[in-house]
Amino acid sequence: MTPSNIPTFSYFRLWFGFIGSAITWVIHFFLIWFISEMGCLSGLGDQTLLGINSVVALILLMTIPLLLITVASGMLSYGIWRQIQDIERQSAPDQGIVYAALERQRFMAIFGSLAAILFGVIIMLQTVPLFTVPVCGA
Amino acid sequence: MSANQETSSTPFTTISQEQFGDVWQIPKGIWGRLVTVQNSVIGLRFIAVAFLFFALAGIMALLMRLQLANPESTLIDPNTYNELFTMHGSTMMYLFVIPLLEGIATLVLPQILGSRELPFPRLTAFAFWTFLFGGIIFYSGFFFEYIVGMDALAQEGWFAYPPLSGIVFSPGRGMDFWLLGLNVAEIAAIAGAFEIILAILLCRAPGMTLNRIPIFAWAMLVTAFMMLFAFTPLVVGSLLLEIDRKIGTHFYNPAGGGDPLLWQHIFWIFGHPDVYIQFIPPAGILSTIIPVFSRRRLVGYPLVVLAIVSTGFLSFGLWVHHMFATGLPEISLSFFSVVSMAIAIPTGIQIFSWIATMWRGKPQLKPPMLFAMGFFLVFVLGGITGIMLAAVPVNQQVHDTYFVVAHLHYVLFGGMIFPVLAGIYYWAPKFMGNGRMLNSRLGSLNFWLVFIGFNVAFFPMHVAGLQGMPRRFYTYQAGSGLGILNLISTIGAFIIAAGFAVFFFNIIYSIFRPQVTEANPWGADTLEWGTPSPAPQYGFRKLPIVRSRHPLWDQDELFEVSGQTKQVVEVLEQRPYRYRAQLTTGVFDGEPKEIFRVAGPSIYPLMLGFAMTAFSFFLIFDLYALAALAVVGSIASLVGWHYRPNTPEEQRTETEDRIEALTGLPVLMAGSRRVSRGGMLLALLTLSVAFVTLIFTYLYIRLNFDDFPPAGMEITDVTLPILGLIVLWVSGLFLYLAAKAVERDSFPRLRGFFGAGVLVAAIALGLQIRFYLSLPFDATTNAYGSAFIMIAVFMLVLQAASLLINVISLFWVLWRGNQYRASNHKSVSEMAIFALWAAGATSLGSFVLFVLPYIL
Repeated sequence: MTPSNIPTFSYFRLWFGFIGSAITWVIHFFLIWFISEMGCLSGLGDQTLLGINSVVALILLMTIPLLLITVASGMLSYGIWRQIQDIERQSAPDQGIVYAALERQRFMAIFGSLAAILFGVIIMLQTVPLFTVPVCGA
Repeated sequence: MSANQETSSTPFTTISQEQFGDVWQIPKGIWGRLVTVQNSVIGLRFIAVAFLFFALAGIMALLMRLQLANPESTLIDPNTYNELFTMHGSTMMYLFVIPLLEGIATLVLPQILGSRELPFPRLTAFAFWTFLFGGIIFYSGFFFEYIVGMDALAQEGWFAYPPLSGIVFSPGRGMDFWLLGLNVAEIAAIAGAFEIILAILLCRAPGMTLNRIPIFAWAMLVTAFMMLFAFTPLVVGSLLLEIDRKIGTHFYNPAGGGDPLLWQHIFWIFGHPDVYIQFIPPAGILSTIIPVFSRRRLVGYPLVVLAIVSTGFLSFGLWVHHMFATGLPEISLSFFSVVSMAIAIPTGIQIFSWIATMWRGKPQLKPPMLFAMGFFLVFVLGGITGIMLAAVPVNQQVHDTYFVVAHLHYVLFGGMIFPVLAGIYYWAPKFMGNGRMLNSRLGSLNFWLVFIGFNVAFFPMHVAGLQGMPRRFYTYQAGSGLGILNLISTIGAFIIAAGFAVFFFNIIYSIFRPQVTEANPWGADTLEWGTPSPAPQYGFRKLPIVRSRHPLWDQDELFEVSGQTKQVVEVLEQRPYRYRAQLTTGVFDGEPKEIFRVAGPSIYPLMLGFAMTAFSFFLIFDLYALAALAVVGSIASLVGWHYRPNTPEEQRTETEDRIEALTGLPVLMAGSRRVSRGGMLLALLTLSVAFVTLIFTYLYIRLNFDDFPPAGMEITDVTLPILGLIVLWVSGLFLYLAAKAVERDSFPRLRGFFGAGVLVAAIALGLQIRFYLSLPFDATTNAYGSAFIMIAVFMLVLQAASLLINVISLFWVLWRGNQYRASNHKSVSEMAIFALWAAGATSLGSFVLFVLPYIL
């Protein structure tokens, strides 16, 4: 592989993979906090939806798509990482500064893959209390 | 070849070091000291003043420890004790840690990034003066209390919870000194954050890609963003508390529909991230030092960057763990509890990375490394008690006891003081001037005294806390079993003081008996050690070209590369030299983008800082006419700041054209387009955070009302504000067209659209002011009125600020019309962005005020 045909990945893919999971966690965190506070204050916590507490149901409904986005962010980064590994296997080792951009993209991909694991686990952990703690108890 | 014989395709002739360094010299004399904006000077000033405040806060701590050394002591009366713990905590949090870290960043970052100067040096100078003046206002409370005889010292703790901090329970001016003095200092922190972010993103050495940025710079980048998101709500919350006190609004007053818990939310949204703001940069220092003294690359660089970034995010999700005892829903508490525990993961990643680095290397126990070792023990112990406090039942049991005091000192002292001292011993030879090393023996003595003293002072507090000793009480009963623990703590405090006396002595000793050293005495890997010692003011005359994460270890020489980048570096080594020239590089890959002129010495940062401080000072004493005068002074200072005299030095010459031809980069004498755009975006981000804080306040207050809006406060006719909003968008459109006219190099269009934009913006502002003046309630009616009016005021101030900037700029455009040059008017696009953003914010605010109450 020569420097001229080293692929570059789109900014969207790189950045969504790099920071997407962290931003998804922020959105999830503030949403579940908002739902729990407002739900308990408005009396929603005393009602049920499909046999489970309405606040819990709402939070779970919110969590599933956001968790999927986190997973997608991680998968995207992991895919880029794998592609870069393939490129490196095919190319000559000594391409100097030309490979700086590729190195940077690999770094972003590794970062994104690991960040998705971290934030995905935290999102899942934050749903555990829904099944163990009285929802609107104070 | 003489300069006259040079043609556009030939390289520049070599100029001497003196010629090149002339514009970088620090201006001489007292005036020179006042106007300098050089990062090396401002950074040292930040550090020196921060340590001065540290010493003052330390003396207060010793006084408190003397009082507590014996049970039922009468050495200090309860009121004085309250003042001491308030001033001690506030000083450490607001006037020591953050300014110190900003000072280190200001001093070190340009060279560690392979740059010549920070991108907004006048902003750095402004940040310093504002910090200094804010601190002086804060401490002037002592003068007014003990000399003038006023009630001028706060007693409410560093958190200032209402209702205690409200006008009913704190009728003196102590809280006003606290709120307004510290607000000025917080503005300094935000200004410093702008500078740090832009320096790291835009002003790195060529070739320094994202994955080659030194860890310390990553840490400062994340910290600076955190400061924008954390300090801005505090500034807003503090202003709301102050106007509660001064004007009689009801944000935190339950009797008027407000809520004291609102302050706790806003304060801890700042307060807990602040703990990590204080920890992340020191962690960056450790990630710099440990590999150097272990002779081993940092293990897991991407993981450490991930740890820093994820700590930044997670730190905003655990503020409620300071409010576990306030009766919030249990399910909410559990969300915060999970994050409080999860944040140990990234911290653990860093600690394991450092241990692995040392494990695989050969650690050398020189003073910087000694302090790093001290960090490990102290911080890990603090971290363990942190995990305990993240558990709701434990937290409720030990809430407001000395267990918490012990924990926070282990975390803050261990996580901040030890690494910072390590950093000072490490960087002193490069940045203390004349390449002076701090004395190694005194350094070791310094370490052992502080380390032993710290543990003697604070470890017994865990036990005292578990035995139930409450914090912030000026004494305790004899026979409670707490006497011996407190006596030991007091002895420890004095040992710490002895340790710091050795530290200060070491600095003085090294100044008078310097041990001058070589350029890179530690054999370090990062760029700052690539300059000679003492480093010239411009750092690198020939900019380094980075090809590794450890350039000084991996690169035989720093400039070896071919192609356009080499050409850029070689040209910049010679020209321009009539002004302070700097390079901007790409955010991702560090490729050269622009050559621009960095702002030079100016008195206006000092004047602006002084005027803003005077404004706060006059408000404390209800001198509103003088405060208004200070506002005028601030505006005049800002105009002077940005004014560019029409002197020959300001004129573009053939040299700039030749530089452009040789490097292929634009040479921007009016300043960098990318830096300006970055500054504008950060300003908008900060204002957005402030606005969101106000909207959060409004929504939070909504929870206290059954009827919202309350009866008699409904808005029935919104014709005027909607009309005003439409006109505001039209004015933004005109300004956008004015910016487009500059791009097309059409002066008549610029003049026309700009003028129309300003005129229409004035009409929009007038319409809205007329509407808000006709409301049937005001800010003191109840909390709804307070929140409504504050959002309205915020929107109007934005529009007024935009209008004022545009009026001044229009005047400039017309005045200098005969010297029109498109490159000098590019900033019109920044004004258009601001105007459009103000229109967007006003739209959102109008939705919140006029639509939300009727659907929520």
